[in-house]
Amino acid sequence: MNEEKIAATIYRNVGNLHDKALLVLKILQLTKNCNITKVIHEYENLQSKKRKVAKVISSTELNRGQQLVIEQRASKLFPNQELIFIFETDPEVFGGFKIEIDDNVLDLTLEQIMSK
Amino acid sequence: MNIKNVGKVKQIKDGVVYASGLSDVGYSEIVKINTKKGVDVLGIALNLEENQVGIVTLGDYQEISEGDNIEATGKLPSIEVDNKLLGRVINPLGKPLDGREIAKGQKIDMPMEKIAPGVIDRQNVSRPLQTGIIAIDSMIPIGRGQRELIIGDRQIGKTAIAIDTIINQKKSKSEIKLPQVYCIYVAIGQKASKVAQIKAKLELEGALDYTIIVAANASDSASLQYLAPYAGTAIGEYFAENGKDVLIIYDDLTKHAWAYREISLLLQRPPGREAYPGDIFYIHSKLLERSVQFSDKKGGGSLTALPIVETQAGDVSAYIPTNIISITDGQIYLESDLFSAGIRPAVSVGLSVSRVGGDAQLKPMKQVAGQLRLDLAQYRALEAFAQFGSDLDPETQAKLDRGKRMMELLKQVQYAPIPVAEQILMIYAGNQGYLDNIKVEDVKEWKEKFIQYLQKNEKIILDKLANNNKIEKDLEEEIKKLLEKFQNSSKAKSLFGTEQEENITDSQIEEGSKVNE
Repeated sequence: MNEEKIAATIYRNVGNLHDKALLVLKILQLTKNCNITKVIHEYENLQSKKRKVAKVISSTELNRGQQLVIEQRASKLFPNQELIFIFETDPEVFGGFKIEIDDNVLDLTLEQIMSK
Repeated sequence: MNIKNVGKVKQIKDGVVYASGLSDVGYSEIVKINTKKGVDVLGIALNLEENQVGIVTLGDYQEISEGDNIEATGKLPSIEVDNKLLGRVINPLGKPLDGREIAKGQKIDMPMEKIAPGVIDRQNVSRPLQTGIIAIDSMIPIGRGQRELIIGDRQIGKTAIAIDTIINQKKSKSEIKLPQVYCIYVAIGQKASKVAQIKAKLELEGALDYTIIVAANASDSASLQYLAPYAGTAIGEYFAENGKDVLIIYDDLTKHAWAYREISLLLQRPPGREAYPGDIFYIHSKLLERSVQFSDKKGGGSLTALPIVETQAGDVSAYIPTNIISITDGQIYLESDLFSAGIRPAVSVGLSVSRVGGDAQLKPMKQVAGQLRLDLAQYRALEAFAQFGSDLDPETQAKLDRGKRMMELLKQVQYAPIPVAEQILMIYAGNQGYLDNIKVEDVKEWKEKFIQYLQKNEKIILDKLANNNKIEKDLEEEIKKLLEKFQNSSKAKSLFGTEQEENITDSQIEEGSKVNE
C-alpha cells in the first residue's frame, strides 16, 4: 500500500475520531517501512482540497487491469480534479461498480438498476 | 452517464431535514430522500448553509430516518402539463386526487418558478372577462390579463364570485365572439370537503370540462400549500403561451402567506412584521406578475388572475391585504354590512375599483354603466335620509326610489351568472325608468321574467349587443320597442297590478295609508 492510498483511506473512511485513530494505528503497524512524512503530506493535500479521494466500490475485487481502466475513465469525467483512487468491495452492490468523489456519485451498480 | 450529488440525513427537526453532503445542490432544487422502507420522499432544498442543507419535505417526513441517503435531482420544482389535465383535480406535484390515473402522453414540463414576461411581450388589456355578475361586469369590469383581488371577511361570498365566474365561461352562456377561457382553481389550505363540493358544482353546471383544480388541502404539508399557486400558474402558462385565454383563481392567498410563514419560521429565518419572513411581499408579487396579456407576436394569449384574500373584521389595512392590494390592478371589496342587509353579492360599489376599467368593457355596457354608477352614488349619499319618509321633496324621493330598485337589480343568486347582453338590457331598462312603477320587492321577479323573455324571443338584439354595437339610433329604437312589448305582455302585467295602480309610487302609498289612519 503506498503512502497516497494510506492517506486517502484514512481521510475518506467516514467514522468518528476514535475509529479514525484506530485505523491510523493499524495501518502504521502493517506498513512499518512506509514514509510517514509523505503520508502526512498527502493527507494535507486532501484536507486543502488540492486532491480528492475517488472511492470505487465493486461487488468483487478488481484486478489491476480493470482498476487502471476505471482510473483512466474517471479522470476523463472529472478533468480538473487530481484524484487518489481507493478500491473497496461490497457484495450488496450485486454487480458493476460505483465511484464516489466527495458527494458526487457515478452509480453503475446492478443494485441501482434493479431498484428502479 | 449521470453523476448524482448525494448526501445523508443528519437530523430531522420540525418537519425540516438537515443533510450533510449535497454540496452542489441549488436553492429550491428538488431532492429525493431514499427511506429505509423503500419509499422515496421528495423535498426542496431551501436552506443552504456552510455545513448542512435544510430540506423541507414535500411528503410524509415520518418515513425518514437519520442516516437515509439523499440525492439531488438537478431539477427545480416543475409540473407536467398537457391538455388532458382539463377536468381533473390534482395536487401541486401533479398527482391525481380524483381517483383516476393521469392520462399518458406527451407532456411539457412547466417550471413552477419563472420570471414574469417583460414589457415587450405584453400588450394592453382590452378584451373583457365576463364574470356574469352584474355589479362587477358593469362597474368593476375585469379584462383578460388583469389581476383583480377579491377581498372580504370569512363567509361573505368570495369563493362564490370566483365559482360564478368560472361557470360563466361556458361557451353556450355567452354570445360574445371571444375565445374560450380555460379556468384553473387553486385551492390553498382549504377543507377537502369544500374542494369536493366545488368540483361537484362545476361538474353539475358543465364547467368542469374546461377547468383544472389544483388542490393543496389543509391536511397537506405547508410546503405543498406554498407550491400550489405556482403550480397552478405553471399550468396556466402552458395554455397562455399557446395563445389561449386562461383564468386562474388563488383561493386564498392569506393561507398561502401562513404556509410560507410556517416554513420560514421552521427554517429559522428571521421573522419580521406579524412574524412573516422578509420576502413575504416577493412571494406574492412574483406570482401575480406572471398574469399577462401577451402581444399578438407572442400568440395573443392571456392569463387573468383573481386572487382571494380573507380579512379579519374588515381590516384592509392589515399587512397581507395591503401588500396584495398594492400589487393587483384593483379590488372587489365585499362588505359584511351589505351581506347582512341582504345585498348579495355584497360588493361595495364605492370602495371597489378596477384600474383597467372601461378599456375592457363592451361599448354598450360602458354606456349604461355610467348612469348606473351615478344613480347608485347619489342613492348612497341620500341613504341616510331615507328614514324621513314623507318629509322629503319629490326629487330626493325619486332618487331614493330609483336607487333602491337599482340595488335590487344588482342582487343575484349563486350559481346563476347572467350573460352580458341580458345585463346591458336590464341596466338600460332601469336607467330609463322602466322599473320605477314596480314595487321594490317585485324587481327580482321582473328580472327573472325579463331574462326568460329575452332568451326566448330577442336573440337578434342580444347578438347585436354582444357584438359590441353601441346603443344609438336604430338599436335604441329596437330596444325601446322590446321593452314596451315586454311591459305589455301578460308576464309583466301581473307585476304592475291593475290599470289604476300603475303610476303610484312608494311615497304615495305611504301618504295614502297615513290619510286612512
